[in-house]
Amino acid sequence: MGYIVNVDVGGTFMDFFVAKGGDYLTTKVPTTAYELGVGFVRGLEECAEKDGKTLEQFLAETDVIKYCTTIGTNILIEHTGPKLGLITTRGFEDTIFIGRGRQWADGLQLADVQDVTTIAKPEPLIPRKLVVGIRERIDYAGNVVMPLVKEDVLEQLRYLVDKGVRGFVVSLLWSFVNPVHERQIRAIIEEEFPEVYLGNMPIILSSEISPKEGEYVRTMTAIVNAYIHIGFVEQISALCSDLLDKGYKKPLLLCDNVGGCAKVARTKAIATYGASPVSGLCGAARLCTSVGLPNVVFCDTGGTSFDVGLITDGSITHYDLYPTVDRWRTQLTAIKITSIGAGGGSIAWLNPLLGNRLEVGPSSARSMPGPACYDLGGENATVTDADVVLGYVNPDYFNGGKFRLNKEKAVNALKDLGKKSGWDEVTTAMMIKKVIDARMGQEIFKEVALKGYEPSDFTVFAGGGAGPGHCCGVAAAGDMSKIIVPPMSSVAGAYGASTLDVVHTYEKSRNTRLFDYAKGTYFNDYAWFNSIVEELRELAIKDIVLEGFKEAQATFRLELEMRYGMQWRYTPVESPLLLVHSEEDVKAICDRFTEEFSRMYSPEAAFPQGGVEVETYRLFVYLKLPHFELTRTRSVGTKSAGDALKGQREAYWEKLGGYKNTSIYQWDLLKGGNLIEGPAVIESDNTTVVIEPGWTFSMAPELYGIISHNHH
Amino acid sequence: MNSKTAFRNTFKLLNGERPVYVPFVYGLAARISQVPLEEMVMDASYYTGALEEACGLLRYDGIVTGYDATLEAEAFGAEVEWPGDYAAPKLKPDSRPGLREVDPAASPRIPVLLEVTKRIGMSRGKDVAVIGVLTGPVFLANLLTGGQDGAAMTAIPLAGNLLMKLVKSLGDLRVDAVFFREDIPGADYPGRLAAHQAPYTAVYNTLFNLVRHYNAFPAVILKDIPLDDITGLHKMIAPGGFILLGQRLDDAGLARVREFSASLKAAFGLPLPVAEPDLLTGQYDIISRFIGGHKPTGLFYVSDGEIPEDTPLETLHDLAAKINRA
Repeated sequence: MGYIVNVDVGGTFMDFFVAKGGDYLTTKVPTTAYELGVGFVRGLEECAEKDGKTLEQFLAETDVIKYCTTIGTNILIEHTGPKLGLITTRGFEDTIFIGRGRQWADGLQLADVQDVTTIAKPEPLIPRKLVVGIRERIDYAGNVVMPLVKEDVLEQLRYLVDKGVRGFVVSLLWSFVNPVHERQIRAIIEEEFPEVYLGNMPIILSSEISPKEGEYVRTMTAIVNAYIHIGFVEQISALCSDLLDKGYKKPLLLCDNVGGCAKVARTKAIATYGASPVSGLCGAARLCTSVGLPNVVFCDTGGTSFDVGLITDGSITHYDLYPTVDRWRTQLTAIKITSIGAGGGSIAWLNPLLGNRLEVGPSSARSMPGPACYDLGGENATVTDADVVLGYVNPDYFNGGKFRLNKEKAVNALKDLGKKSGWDEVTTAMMIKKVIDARMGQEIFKEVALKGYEPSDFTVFAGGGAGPGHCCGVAAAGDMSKIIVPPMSSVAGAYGASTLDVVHTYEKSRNTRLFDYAKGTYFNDYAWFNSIVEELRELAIKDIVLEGFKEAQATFRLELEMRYGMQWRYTPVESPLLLVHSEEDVKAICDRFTEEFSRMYSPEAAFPQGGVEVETYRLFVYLKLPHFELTRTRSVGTKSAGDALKGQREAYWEKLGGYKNTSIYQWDLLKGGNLIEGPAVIESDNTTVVIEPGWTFSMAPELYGIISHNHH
Repeated sequence: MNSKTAFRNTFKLLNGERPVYVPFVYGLAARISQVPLEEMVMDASYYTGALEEACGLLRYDGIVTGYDATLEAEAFGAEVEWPGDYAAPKLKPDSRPGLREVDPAASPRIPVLLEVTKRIGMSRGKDVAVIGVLTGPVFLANLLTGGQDGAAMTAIPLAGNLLMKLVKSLGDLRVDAVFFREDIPGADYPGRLAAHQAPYTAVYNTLFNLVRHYNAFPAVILKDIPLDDITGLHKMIAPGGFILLGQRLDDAGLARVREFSASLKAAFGLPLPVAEPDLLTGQYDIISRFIGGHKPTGLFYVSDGEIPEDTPLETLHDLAAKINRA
């Protein structure tokens, strides 16, 4: 068995988790935002070197590379997408500009939402002058009310092409029920503007990207996909070409935001948005379930963002059916992750509107210029600078010593920041730590409590490079008393990618009344229900065969978005059956819905007498890939971690009144059974674990750490 | 393995093939293209074409996109004069650069240089190394102060800030290395560095960190530096490589350099006196014989300074042929 390489791109670092058999190695390299491929190759080189091989040898022995990319995110944030034209039904050209009421606030942090003097709608991805309306109409049932007129289409196309568009998005009313007009428009474009003349101009149909009801979100999903599509294709192609030149001939799989991965050619660009934290969450779910921790709040504290996801009863059950991508409300089906701008590179600043109150984030220094202590020209004080001054992070051993931090620059940056408040650098550093821990702790508390769970029942998964350094403060602020620190915590997203299977999702909106309240009868057109599922299944089989799999290797799961009577919202429910053949089958689906609805909202809220409807059918197809399993054990040692003690240094503990001589341990030398009482610091190549006073660290035989609060 | 890979392997101390050759070609490129240097450096198309033509003709492994110690000083307001059609410019003796923050985009020649670096990267960057050469901070600060030590503490951070901006620009263009040219007599350089060690090492550290962030290799070009000073210098500034202009190395000297390379984990550029044909053959034979007995790993050839524009092309062809055959 060869290497399984897993790569996760963050805002500050690119993480690599390479599994081979039961062993693994990890590395982190700074994210090269100017061209992600540079950091990608550099990381591979480091991995190869760690295993005593050249890059070429390493790649020749690699079976698969899985990649969580932020290409799409970067294109959106930097607004570097192409000029696009939107073709819609005449009279509805302004839909995306009217948007929904929430459009003002989507994608903004709370503080920005509350700043009503400066809040503004986002700059449109497609300006109004590049939106054209076509004379056509299809009704809610899919009947053609007004047919398409080719000359009208051609006139609008020529207008758009004359304006310089480099791609088309087509989103017509009710096209998800009957896509005939959208497909006709595509055929007209391909006929009129063949590739040989104008090169590749992608044509994105909303009925293919998001065949679900919801005119605004369907259109926005198609637009966002189109916006990132071209740049995405270019960068991924360049990367594939680079890897091929270096001898890698196997597949590159892209991770997506539903907890799966797929070959490049079978991945929609928009599906990769948010893949990194989702992968981390999936990895955490797998690992925590295997070690007997069913309720976990996954936290990934990177350099730029703090991502939170929930695992309840060992499963990931929370989806966001209308995720906001950058500033745009879409209707992807994505696993729910909450992200805030908080991480090791978060910049500390004084808010003049609030009496120079200290704030930390959401802006990040990222990898360039980075925290002041990175000595890359950055001058702002960041969380990492605070951690260095407080003695938690060893400036001579950052990233395993590959990267020497400049403590003097950290001190100067903190001094500059603290001047206005009359604080020295130590007080400033301590305040930064308290503010950031409180922000992150509040976020995890909200995530758990607002979903109806008791925070103290949950374990914090301390992931990300900066996660283990702040986990005690964050857990305490989140009212949690137990933390798991796995050995690969600093590369949580990349590790998570290693646990992903190939997953595809196929959706279709078809309103189906499963139980008619007026007649008191169950739906009985089983062929109609089954035809929808079969249509999705055929799309799935086509894709998996093109990916080189066999149909027999696939497992399917059907999810239905359902509601009672005239409810506004839908609830996603896993269907107990793929196909229906009898009234009992239909009843089983309705009962499952009632069961799920009751669990989420209480049995008193369930109202099956009101009628039960399905709006959207969602088919998942899974193809298993080899996974890395954390099974490596060492001989269990004693409680004493003396063999792992590497020295002492002064570190600041507010509870103990200031700097104290603190024991420093080396993670790799710890054995199962070792106990370390805080205050203490454990260093590894890629992260630092800070055990605060009042907490105790214990190492499990499988070499993951558990940090528990002493009073719980 | 192509030249670019071999160059990068050299700086990783892994080059097991023949040593790479990186000559400093500037005025010579203008002469080969028959465009006066002053005109060439103001036109990205002429400039790019000239560098490509020179590399194609003389078959070396890395293209240095500029070799001009007046570029940065000019950005600070110093005036230059052009002695002859193909000779590198000099600063006018009475020129007074200003001690203030400058924007390299506003300077007359830096934007052209960056555009050329971009184009060379696109046209030849897959096969040969692309190298930016900047004036080193010690030399640049010296130019800004006119040798007045009193103004050094103002000049050093200003020089550092400009160089940081240039390194970032070159990094974005994906150069393989950035060389910092310290055009100060080797005997004086350690002393000048030590006189303001803290600010200079701070500037160097930031510059080298920046270069490494872009996955490129930083090196310092020094002139007539005593080999005994190398270890001490590395302790202060720790570049990824040293280029030892002015050295005429015998076997003992080469053995010392190889030891430095291994112990300091740095690449070393060994100068070939291209301008002195009588010495060139002999020095090449010594070095090539020494390297032939070991693998080059971190050693590579450079020209001993800029190749004069009037160097006979036959000399350069012969040298290239010998190096490529090795």
